[in-house]
Amino acid sequence: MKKVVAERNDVVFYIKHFPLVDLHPEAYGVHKSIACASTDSQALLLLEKAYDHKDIGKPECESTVVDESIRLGQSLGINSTPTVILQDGSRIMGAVQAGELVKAMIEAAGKQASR
Amino acid sequence: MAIALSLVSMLAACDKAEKEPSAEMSAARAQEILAGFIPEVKVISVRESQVESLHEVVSEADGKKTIAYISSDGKSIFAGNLYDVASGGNVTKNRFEEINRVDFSAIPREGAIAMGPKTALNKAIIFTDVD
Repeated sequence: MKKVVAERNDVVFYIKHFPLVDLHPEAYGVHKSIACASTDSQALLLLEKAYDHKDIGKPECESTVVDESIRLGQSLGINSTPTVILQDGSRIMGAVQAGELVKAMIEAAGKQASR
Repeated sequence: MAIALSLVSMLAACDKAEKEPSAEMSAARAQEILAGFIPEVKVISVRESQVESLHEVVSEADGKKTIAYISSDGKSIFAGNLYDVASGGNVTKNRFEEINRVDFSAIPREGAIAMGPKTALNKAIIFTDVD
């Protein structure tokens, strides 16, 4: 995804916290730490470190962002990660190649525009 | 053993129902039939499928939606993909995508980490877990 964003300026990914707390109880704390970042770029740095299983420290703020995000995901019936929601409301479950994802995003955006 | 007994009693009840003129599959009846397999299931909708005597039932259990087809006589459940011969399309898969469709613009961006320019026309929301 980093590569995609570096190579083109017509795509944007909104990453929402959705630690599967039943399967990965520790991920909850990690996501809370990331949510404390004050800027998106800082958050992305922490996210990358976390994906590499590096320690990013305990959460340094009080925030309900992660809880709200989990509630939102559950209300949408999301139960696995990653789950991508496209602009036409459809979803992709599981990891996909960046190129395929971008293609799907452009297709979904096109469908939305023609509605 | 308990499941076999409940199935037998369900079938017995269906035999009685067959004597009454009813080609309809009500949500309540579908609920009863499916609950024999998934006790906590909740039926969301029942409608005709493109197959005569098979009713499409959308149900939910454990936060997940499922599509199954129940025969009018209540004796059979088909859980799998229905294909349309003329179009070659996977009817069940298409319907599944339809019932899972969400309103993209209604999903709040607050709390999400933006990766890329927010003015970009091609957007996606990714629910992720670092583990």
